[in-house]
Amino acid sequence: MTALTLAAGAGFAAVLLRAIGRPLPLWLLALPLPLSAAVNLLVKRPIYVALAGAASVNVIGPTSPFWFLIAVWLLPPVSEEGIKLVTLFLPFVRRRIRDGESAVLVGAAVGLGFGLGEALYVGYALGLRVEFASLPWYAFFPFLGERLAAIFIHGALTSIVAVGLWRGRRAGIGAYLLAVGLHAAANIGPILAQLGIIGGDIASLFLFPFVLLIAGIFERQRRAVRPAAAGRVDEIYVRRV
Amino acid sequence: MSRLVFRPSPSYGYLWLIGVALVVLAPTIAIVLPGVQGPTLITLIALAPSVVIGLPFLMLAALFPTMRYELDADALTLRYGPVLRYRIPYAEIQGIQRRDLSVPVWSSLRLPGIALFVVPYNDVGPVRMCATRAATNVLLIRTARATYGLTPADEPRFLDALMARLPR
Repeated sequence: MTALTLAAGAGFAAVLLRAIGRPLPLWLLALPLPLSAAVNLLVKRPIYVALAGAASVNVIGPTSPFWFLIAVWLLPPVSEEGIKLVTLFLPFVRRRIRDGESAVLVGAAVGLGFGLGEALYVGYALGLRVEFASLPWYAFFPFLGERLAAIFIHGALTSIVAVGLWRGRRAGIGAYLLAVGLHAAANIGPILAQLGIIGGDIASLFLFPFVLLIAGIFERQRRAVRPAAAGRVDEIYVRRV
Repeated sequence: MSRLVFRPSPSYGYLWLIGVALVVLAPTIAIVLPGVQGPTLITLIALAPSVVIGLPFLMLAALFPTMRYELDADALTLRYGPVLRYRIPYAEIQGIQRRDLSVPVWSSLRLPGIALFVVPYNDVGPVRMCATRAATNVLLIRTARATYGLTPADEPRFLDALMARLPR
């Protein structure tokens, strides 16, 4: 199922990139593939362990301290948006951001690639859990839908950050904070499920209003930065009145 | 004047329609595979949307060869099987353009190689499409009520025939 998700996600990413602008080298999608595993294993996990130690808890739950809940909720958005931001600062990536349209495309490619890597990492992690071993493979189709939504969210949010960086330092900081806020909002469902407030089976449903909101912001920004003359126009006939 | 029928430019749009249908129908296909234990009622309810969305895509793929542009005595008609029929009286045509279009992320029925029904474009607004290209070299026909998009295979001959029918 992870392989199917990756194939569907890669196809979706390639079509989306081609649909929203001029061609882009696909290595930009491959570059961030290892970043999700890296940020999870090298950044999020040590910080989580430190936070859990300070809060004297093992896992997040209804009895966890409030500050711990907030910290655990914000940890993925801050760290994941942060590592994608760092990727945009790599000289050979940043050189490709020449105008607003290229910022949209490069940001989207980096984010989509990160999302693909995350699907791989999450799929691998789920595969190691014994409680899922007895489930038939088709029981994981919701995983495919959720991961496709997550891949799009990562692409759109990194695109927003890239356009912010292209506009300047202040706009870049504002865009990063906006991306962190939207990412945190999209993660509300899983957090509420971990607290036992909602069932795990409907946690993913909370994702979709935020997918629409993020798609709206992404599209509005894309329209704002696209070149004025998109293509040629040949007048063939105009009725005289 | 005699009735003329023009075909659209060739494309692989039908493969995209089949691909989307298979992706959407995949969960349903999975539960009818041999050896899979019977699905529960909840599973069937959850899978219903995939059938409702996936089957129409398969139907549209099957209808792909029926895309036609018909010029008769009074009007141009864009057809896609029984599911799409746009009739454009010559007297209502205000302008014709060939242009590249800027596509939004919001996708209606717009895939590589096919665009059907109303597609919202960034630069020209909503266009009633019956075409095998979604964004490049699209022939736009403007009327007071709507704008229509088409991609005839033999565009020069199509335009000659259409222009000969337009009011002078």
